Amino acid sequence: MSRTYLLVTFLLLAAFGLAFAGGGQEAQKEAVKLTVWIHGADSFIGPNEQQKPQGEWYIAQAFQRFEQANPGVSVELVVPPDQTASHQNFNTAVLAGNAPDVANLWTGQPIYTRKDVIMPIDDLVPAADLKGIWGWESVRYNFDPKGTLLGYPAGQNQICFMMYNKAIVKKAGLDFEAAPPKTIKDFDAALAKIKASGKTPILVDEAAQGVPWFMAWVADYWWAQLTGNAQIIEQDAGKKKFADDKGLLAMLAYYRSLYTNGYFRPDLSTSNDSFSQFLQGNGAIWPAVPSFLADAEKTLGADVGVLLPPEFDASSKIRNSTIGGPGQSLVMPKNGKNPKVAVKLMSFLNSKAEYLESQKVNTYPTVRTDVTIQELGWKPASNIAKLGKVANTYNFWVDNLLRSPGPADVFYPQGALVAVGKMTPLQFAQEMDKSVPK
Amino acid sequence: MKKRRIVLQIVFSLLPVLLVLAVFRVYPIAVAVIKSFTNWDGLYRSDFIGLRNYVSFIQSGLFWMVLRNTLILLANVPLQVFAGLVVALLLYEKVKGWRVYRAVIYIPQIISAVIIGFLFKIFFGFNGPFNAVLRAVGLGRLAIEWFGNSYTALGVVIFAVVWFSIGWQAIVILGGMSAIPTSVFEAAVLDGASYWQRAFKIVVPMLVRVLEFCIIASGVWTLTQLFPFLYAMTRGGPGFETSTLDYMVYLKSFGLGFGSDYGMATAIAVLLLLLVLAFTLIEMRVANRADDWS
Repeated sequence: MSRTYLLVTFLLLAAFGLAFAGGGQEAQKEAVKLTVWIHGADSFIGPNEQQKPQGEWYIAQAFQRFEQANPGVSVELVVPPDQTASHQNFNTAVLAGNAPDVANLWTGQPIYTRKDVIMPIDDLVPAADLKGIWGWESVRYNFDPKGTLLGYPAGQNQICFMMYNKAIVKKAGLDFEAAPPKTIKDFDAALAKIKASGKTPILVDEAAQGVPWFMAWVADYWWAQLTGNAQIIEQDAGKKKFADDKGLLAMLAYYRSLYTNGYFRPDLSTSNDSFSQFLQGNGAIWPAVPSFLADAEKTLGADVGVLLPPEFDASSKIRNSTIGGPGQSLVMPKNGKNPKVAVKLMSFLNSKAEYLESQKVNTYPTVRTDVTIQELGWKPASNIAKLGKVANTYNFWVDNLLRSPGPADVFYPQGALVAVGKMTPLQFAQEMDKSVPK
Repeated sequence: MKKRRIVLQIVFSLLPVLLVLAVFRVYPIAVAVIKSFTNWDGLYRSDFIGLRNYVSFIQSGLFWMVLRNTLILLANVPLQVFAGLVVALLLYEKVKGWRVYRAVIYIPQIISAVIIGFLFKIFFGFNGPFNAVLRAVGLGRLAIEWFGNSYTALGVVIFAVVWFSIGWQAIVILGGMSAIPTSVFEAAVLDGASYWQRAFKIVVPMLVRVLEFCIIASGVWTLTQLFPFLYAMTRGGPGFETSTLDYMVYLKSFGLGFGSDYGMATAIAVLLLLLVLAFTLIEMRVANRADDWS
């Protein structure tokens, strides 16, 4: 009797134990809720998507697919209203203990300078991802190939280019498809012809949102070509002087000449409507990244062309390239509660299947190494296919090499002053030297 | 015993207010002053660096530019007080339709400063309506990039701020005027004083304390609250050409790039605090003297 009693008691306890264990697991699964900050532009959300209900956005649908593939996990999407401010907000959120599980921040210095609040993910990233993605240097501390891995590059490879209006260019007697300007000399000659035709050659807003866009997207390629990213990093660290950087000074002098020759719009230091002016056919060229291509093609149709920056120095090691690479990253706070699930989500968003899925909504080159143009269905002569060809030969964002507080705090707000002549190239370089943190 | 009770009563009566002031005013200011001597990055770094923030900011050249801009923008104070006084004098006489005018003149105050900033930015844009009118009437040479250089941009900001503030000034001054006994005016009229004599020989001298309040309030407001106008119209640019001390506090904290320099930002905030105190003291001295004259 007592043996039966003991057996029944044991079985009941075991059943309760298993039930509680199972229930505990279930409860744990239900408890996994990821909060994810995604920037409203230049990353997983396209320019037109925010006009639609959130459920129709690519990223919202991707989160739903992730939830379906991982029962018990839910993902909350948060779109910070200001990309620049979201970096500071991330800091304060980590300190307050309410940071998102995954945050979308810029690559390079913007995350290196936050390494104290970011959780390294070296041990969590699948080896297949390390092989299948370009651009890990942008999220490895100090651009060191062996540096601590601070996050994933976001899946978009934002290749910088100059968007141009074929009709305006043709009217000026030029054909950038057949004979694109290859050198600065060619470029100047082309711009002179466009100006003579009565149109503004280059529409730019060099202070809108506090960023000199032409300088960051186009002219920085010339700086990188003349100086090289490695030296720029040394200058940013105070090991060399920006004022001694002949490449920087030459780039800035040319940038200034584009203004004095009347090739830029005259009010570039205060304007903020260049893209809409471009879409209205009021100018020939607009510096761009792929996220704007679909809108331009929808408005101007076949008149939209893409042009890579001409070579400043034909003998440079860097040629037939442009500024680009993953400008955005996905990182985790150092006090994140669900690191494994968070990295799983980052990996999921960077997977080949998801990249192909995202292309149904937004078109941009990827950082994946295993996607072919055929798989994407891009027509070989299309603008996006032309950008795709340079997707793995980009020169990493020069402005992301600069620290803030530091030279970035001169580069962004004062770049336009060089164009309009309120600052000489040397003064600009000296200010950058002064801003290097001691 | 009774005296002790009274003392205790005073202490306990004042304690809540003193506590609120200590927590919400004294403590933040004290922390800001302490942090201004550090290299605080808003996170974990907060090493004592002495006067380095102050010295490097003052030596950078930026200090003089933003101080100049701040002082130029203070020019809006006499303009808005004078405009408010004129409007109040006109409305005090109860001209036909004065009720409508009083309501209309106050409307800019209830519009968001950011919206006003954007409207002025569009209006004075290079291709905006103002330049379009200038070009249309053959004054194309005057159709400049208003926000493209420091002085014209600050001029537009002053214009916007004065336009925004006239209603507030007028209402405050009208409130002060209503406290003047009507018998004074009646006596002045009987003595043959003209409208302008009544306005400037009676009303203005009797409004010294009200005007003092208007000047201090709008002066301190100019020194510390212009952020939405500047953010919407110029973002402190081109470069830092329209940045002020309070705007620089924002830039050093959140606005320049992706980083922040809270130590420097607090040092600038302390300099701003000193400037506000100096402005208030000078204004009070001047007003006291004016009161003595009257």
